[in-house]
Amino acid sequence: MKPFSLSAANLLLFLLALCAAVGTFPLFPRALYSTPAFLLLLSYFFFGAVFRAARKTFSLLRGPAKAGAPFFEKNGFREIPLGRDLSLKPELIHFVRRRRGRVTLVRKEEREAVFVSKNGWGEWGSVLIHLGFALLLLGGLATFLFARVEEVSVPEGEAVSLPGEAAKIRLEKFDVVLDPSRRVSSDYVSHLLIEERPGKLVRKELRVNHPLFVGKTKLFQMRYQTEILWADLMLYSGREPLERIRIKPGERKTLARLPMKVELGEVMPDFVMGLEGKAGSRSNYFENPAVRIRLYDSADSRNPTKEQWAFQDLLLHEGEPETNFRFVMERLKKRYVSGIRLSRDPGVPAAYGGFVLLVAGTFLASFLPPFYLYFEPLPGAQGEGAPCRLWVSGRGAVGRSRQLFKEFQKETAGIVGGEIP
Amino acid sequence: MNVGILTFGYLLFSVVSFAASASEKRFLIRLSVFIGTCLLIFHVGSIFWRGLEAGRWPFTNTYETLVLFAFITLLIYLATFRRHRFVIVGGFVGLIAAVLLALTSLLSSEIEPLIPALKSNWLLFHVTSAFIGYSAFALGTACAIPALTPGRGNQDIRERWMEWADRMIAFGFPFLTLGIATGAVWADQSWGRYWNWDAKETWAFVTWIVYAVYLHLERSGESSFLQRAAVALLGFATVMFTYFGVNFWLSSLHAAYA
Repeated sequence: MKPFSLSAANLLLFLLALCAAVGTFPLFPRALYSTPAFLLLLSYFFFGAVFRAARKTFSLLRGPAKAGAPFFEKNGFREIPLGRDLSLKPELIHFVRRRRGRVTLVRKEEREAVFVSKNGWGEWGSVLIHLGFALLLLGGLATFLFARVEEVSVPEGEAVSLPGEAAKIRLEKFDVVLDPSRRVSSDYVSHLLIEERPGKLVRKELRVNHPLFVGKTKLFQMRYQTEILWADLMLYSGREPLERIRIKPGERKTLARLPMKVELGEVMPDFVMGLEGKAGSRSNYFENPAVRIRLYDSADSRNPTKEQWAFQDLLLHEGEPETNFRFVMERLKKRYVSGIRLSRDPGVPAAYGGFVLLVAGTFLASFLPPFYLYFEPLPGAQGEGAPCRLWVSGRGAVGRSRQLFKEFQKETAGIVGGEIP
Repeated sequence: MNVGILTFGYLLFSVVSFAASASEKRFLIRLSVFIGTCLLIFHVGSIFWRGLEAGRWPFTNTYETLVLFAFITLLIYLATFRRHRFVIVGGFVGLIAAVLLALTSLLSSEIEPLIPALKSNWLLFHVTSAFIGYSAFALGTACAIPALTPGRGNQDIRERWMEWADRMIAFGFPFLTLGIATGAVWADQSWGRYWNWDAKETWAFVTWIVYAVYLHLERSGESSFLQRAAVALLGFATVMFTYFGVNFWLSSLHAAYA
């Protein structure tokens, strides 16, 4: 088996598929794709693809008609001895031209042959596919070796420097655009103030699926988080407001009007009480916010004496005495933190070029399958009445070649004999 | 309700097609084509209606892509029927489509608003290309299966079936390539990496490789029917794993979508 033969390629393609598939399962590490063995396998395909593309290009530039019998034997053409002579040439030419095929008359060693081709351009599909694959692998290598991708979390009001650039970005504001149904977000928008170089400021919006370029770095809007900075709570006794307190998450503060300490616990953006009495949040959007309040007798007590949820409205449960102390959340100060991905990837142009060639090549090869008929006198035969043979392309369009040949037989009213093996 | 009617319709289509193939009666063949055409019209109307209700292309989750998959498979079958006249393949198409539509009963049919990552013009090209490819491969496999039938007398018929399997797979391969390419470009625009070795991406690549091997075998002119049919079956198995297996068993960036 030759190293770049079709059989070797098929075997190693199966091996590549197996390795790639195995790497997707949890038991196997993703690092499989960066191992020297895997990279070696990919490099085989790079060189193999380049070799195939080059060989095919030389063969096509030389032309099958000029190559003659050696080309047809090598490329799987089927030989049909016809027992007829080249006087059928006019019928053949007429037949082919009506089907928009191309006829080339070839003169070799004082013998004339007729070369018929249709969809010859389709042969270049294979060249494009192999070149495209090679280019894609090259782009992948460049990405693997030189790409830099990292994520930064930028809170509102703060700035970060872009690595490898003189530029800085400041997140002035972050918006979560909700869908009219208000159940999911429609878009995330980071309003950025970009200092491309000292003194040059520009404002831009960064949205999902709409990356921005700052110098050579591409910015992508990925995700966001919400930071709770503080909450303003109002303590009520029945319906009487007693005390206002500003408190940060996890902080424990002493109340002035009661001998207790209050701590701000978890925040539920869209509070809902489940059927089992467990509190949860319907979504990440602040539609019905609530905060957990824990009350302690003393500063160092570990267990709270009481816990309650504080909402934006004063809620009194039916039957509860009004002398209970309740908290109302008057204001919840939050800040968004935008998750932005920064990417510098020199492999992208080669990868894109590879994809273009791959797509073009596959469409060309699939929708323009080339097929050929080569009509020549038998070797050693000379003169007008010399018996001939017909070569029919055996690759890629066997069925259509067979069909074309049968149509030609029908047109010549069965004068042309023979069967395609 | 529409999907229920379609499922029943496809089962009926399958039964009539198998009966037509067995009996070779012209009336049954015409009935099969008639039912298929009616199904196609109803199906496209159903997709169109859902798109109008949702206000977007209805190809964004597993439910919607199952419906799309069944539709494109029938469309390609009917479009090529006049050339191949393999009504038995219609039987397989009906069965495949009925199973796909029945699977939608396990999923929510509610129209969900699009999350930000799916709001892109690439959605249409990526999803439709991929599913044209998958549907063509399904038909190619349906043509390859009869070619596996034993018996020397069936040589000509097997040759014809394999020829159509070759054509279907050759038709689907560029669309799968286009689906992978547009997916990679979209990933680059959305996530900053055109290739992450993500489970969905990798399995699509595995599918591409298997069909590339198939086309190598076909172009070499030296492979047997059995070899090509076996590779066609393997290829379709990878298509099914790429579509379903990855979503349910493997962690992937695609898992939430389709």
